Amino acid sequence: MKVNNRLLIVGVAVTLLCLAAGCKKRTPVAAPPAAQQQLAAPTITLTAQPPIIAEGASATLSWTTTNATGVTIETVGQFPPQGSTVVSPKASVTYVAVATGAGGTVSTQARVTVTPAPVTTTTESPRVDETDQGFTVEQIFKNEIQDVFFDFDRAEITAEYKDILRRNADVLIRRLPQVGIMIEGHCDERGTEEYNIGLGDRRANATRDYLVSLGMSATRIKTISYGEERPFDPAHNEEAWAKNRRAHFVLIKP
Amino acid sequence: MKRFRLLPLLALGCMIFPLAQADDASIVIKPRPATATVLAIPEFQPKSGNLDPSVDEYLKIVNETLWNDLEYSAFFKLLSRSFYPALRINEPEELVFKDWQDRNLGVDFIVIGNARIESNYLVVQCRVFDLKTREQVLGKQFRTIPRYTRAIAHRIADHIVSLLSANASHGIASTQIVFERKTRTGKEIYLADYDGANLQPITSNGSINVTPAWNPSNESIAFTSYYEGTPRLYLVSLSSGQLQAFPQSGGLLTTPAFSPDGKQLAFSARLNDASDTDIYVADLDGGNLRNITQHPGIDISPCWSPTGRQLAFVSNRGGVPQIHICDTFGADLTRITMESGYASSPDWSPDGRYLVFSWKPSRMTHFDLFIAEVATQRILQLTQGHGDNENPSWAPDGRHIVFQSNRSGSMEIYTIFADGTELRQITNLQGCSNPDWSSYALKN
Repeated sequence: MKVNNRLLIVGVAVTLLCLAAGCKKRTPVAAPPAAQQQLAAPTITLTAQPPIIAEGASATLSWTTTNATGVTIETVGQFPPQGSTVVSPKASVTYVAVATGAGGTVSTQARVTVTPAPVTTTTESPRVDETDQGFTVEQIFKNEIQDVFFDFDRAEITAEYKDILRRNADVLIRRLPQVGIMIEGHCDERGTEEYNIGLGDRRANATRDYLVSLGMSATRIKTISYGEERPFDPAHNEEAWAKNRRAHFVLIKP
Repeated sequence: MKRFRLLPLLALGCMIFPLAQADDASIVIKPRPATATVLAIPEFQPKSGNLDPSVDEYLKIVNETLWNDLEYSAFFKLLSRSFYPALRINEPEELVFKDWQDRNLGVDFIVIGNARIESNYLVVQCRVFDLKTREQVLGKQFRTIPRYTRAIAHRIADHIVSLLSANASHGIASTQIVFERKTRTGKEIYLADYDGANLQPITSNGSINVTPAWNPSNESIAFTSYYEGTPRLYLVSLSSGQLQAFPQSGGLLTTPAFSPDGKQLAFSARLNDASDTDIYVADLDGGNLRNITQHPGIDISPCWSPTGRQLAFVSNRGGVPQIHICDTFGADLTRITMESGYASSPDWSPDGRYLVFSWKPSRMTHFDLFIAEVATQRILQLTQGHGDNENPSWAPDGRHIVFQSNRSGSMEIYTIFADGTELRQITNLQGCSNPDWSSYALKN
């Protein structure tokens, strides 16, 4: 309102001045020097970045002007002709900026849309210390620790048995931290006897290495290869062979 | 002669199938002589004057054993006794050359002998005559306690083979074979004569004892034992029975092999911080240890070339177990078996030309014995169609091979002539494996 009034006053004054001059001297002349020196009206651009913010977040208002001596942004404050400021509106709002200069004033606007913040709640996980009660170390070992099985002539641990070893490692690290283990490498009878001693050794050590990679101390683990000398199933068929290709866990008492 | 040899070959079904990679010229291993030397061996008789009737029992053993030994040597044709003149020959004077020559039997040499008991000792005399020249070419007397009767026959056979093969062989009849025997609790090391007789335990500790290997001097055997928990190497003296642990220990030591001079061991080991097995060479006292493979993967089952300059071993560095050779410092590595499949348990022939090994080519379902000529890598198949045939070891004559097979249902020890004929089962003990054939007993 104030701006509009001021604009009106300036406009009326200019008109009256022109009329007076024209009345006084009827000679057609160029515009009077005073009017010529009166500078062009100011311009302004205003941007809000980002234009859409979440509730509680901030946006930056930036402006540039020409022919202005200052900028006023309603509800925010007065600023130099060029600049930026950070705003954190609680709700969507349209900012109006007025640039004032010798040539007059000009206004522009920019809108910042505020979206409601997502609903979040902070949670707390209960910490409960759990210990075994009424089970011997041997029982826990027997119930929880599972053997690893292998493909023919292979010593790589497959994904299925990596999961089992993760569970084994968890039990051995958290619930049986005081025990040592022996990992026995076994083979089926189909390979040759001597090579199977080497293969059983690889199986036991691959199993140990994986447990160590899961954080178990290598000093707690011993390995031994039995090759094909100690089959779990002495039959001569695929079912038996599959049972005999394994890394078998044995408890070493503390 | 040819027809005579074909029959056992067909009966045994052990025919020779050269593989695709073997080109036109097939391998011929120490061929039998083109014209076999023909021997006549009249039964040895009680020496005149012998008063102890038990000599008959020992003579029966001598006669039977000597015949089998000379036949199995594959150097001779033995003329059947049904063609012999009826007259018994006890002393050289009773040998009537004319009787033999007139019959046109083609006999080259005649072996005669007698035996007597003398102060509880068995004394056997043996002579060999050349029928062409009528000259004695061999004359020996042997004396021992009756328990060693077979040893006398073996000794005679070896002398005859040495003499009449012009030292191509010193005779394998007195050699022995060590192997593993399955027990209720594990495995024990056993020793038997080359024909399976005279079975004796070397270990009896109730644990797992495997991979026996002869010292070339025949004085001791190296093997792997789980006796103290972790498998390690032991040396046992056959004369004293003294057991000595190989000083090197680690995560795993196994598959020992003596160097030809008997001064070093090659073996497979995973020493303490290694993650897999490598081939090592060391002195018998553990000194001068060196890793000659230094390669990730399983390296196992080394054997020496007879010069002691190279080793053959099994490695899975190509993905599956295959036979490789290198020098004793690990250089000049060559893979011998080029076809895929599973190859294992190499043993180098005494003349250095061949490797025998067990192999299951990927298109096959069982292990069979194969021979590779090292220089050309040509391959010869020795067994086929009879179960798994594994862990071969050369006899010192380079003409015979001992191995394990489950062809009869249980795993047993067999010997075979290196052309795939003359199969002999030497154990029937329900679970015998991994044989190693000794050096010559007589090195005359």
